[in-house]
Amino acid sequence: MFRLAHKRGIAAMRGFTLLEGLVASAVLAIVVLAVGAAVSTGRQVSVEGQKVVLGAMAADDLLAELSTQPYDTLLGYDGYEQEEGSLETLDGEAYPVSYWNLGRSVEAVEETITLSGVGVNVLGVTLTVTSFDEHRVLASLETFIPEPAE
Amino acid sequence: MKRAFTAIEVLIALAITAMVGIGIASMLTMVGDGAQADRGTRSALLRAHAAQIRLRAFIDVSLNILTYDEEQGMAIWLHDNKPLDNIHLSELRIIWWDADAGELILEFIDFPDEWSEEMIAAVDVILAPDTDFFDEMTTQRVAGLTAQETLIESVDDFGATFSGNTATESNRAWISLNLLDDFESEHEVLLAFGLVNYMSAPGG
Repeated sequence: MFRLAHKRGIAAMRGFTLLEGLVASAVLAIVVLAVGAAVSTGRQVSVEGQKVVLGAMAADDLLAELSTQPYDTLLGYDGYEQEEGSLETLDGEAYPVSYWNLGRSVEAVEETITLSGVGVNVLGVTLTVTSFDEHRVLASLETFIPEPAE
Repeated sequence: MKRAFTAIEVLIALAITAMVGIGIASMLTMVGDGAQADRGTRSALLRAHAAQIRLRAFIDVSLNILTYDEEQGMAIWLHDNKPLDNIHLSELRIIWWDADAGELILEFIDFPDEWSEEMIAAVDVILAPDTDFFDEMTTQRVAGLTAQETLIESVDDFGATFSGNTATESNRAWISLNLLDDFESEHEVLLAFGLVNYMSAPGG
């Protein structure tokens, strides 16, 4: 019984070896790096979300400008494109750098839509403005401009 | 025999631990700074989006941007609900930047609820084309007949440009804003507007 108590006393005085300490530090570093990576990934997702909002705003802007153009010129905007990082208004004013590397493109299609409530067909141009960055489409907005009455 | 660490072992262990600690601290500092900047940008962007929606609700549907002054703001002919193609007092809106409060304000005529139609008609006069619209709104403000709405907060600067030679000749307008985020960083935005209902101002 005395020998068992003596062994327990020796065991209680045993500390960490250098190797154990280094392994613990390495494990701690790996865990912290993993947490940091997760936070960075979350930030990246947030940045992508901000790009989508900015892209929608930029697309809405161009749609608002195009809506003021004479009707007979709308089809001429089909295929109009501003490359990434070259955003500018229709009158040539450059967008601020806060708009990152966004681009915009326009699709204009003449078509007839039917107003379901009244059964009336209306001829006009459907304008679709798409904003994008170098990787993907961010937003796509559409509006229908009816042909003006004679 | 009790074995303890040698001095070399302790020094090496301390050095390794210090390097790991510095690396972790640096990384966490960068992550924290980045997250803070990201939060600021996000708050400014959401405010810019809200600004676009609110301004578009007034500018895109308006008939004419009557005048613009860098100091006094923008006078808008919002609608012609009292027809005959004249600008009535109640159809006037002023958008101006309160530099002290850092807010973009919309001001309009707000007749008291208890007023009769006759009383309103007596005050809701037709404004001549050469009216100083800002002075007119100030006069009504002093009389207690205007109301204000804050369109956007934390605005550090406000400016506007137009597609025509003057604001009143333009069916497109662009507003540039410098928005401050929660950390006092500036974010510049440009908003485009198209007046789909554009009509020339009376006398124009």
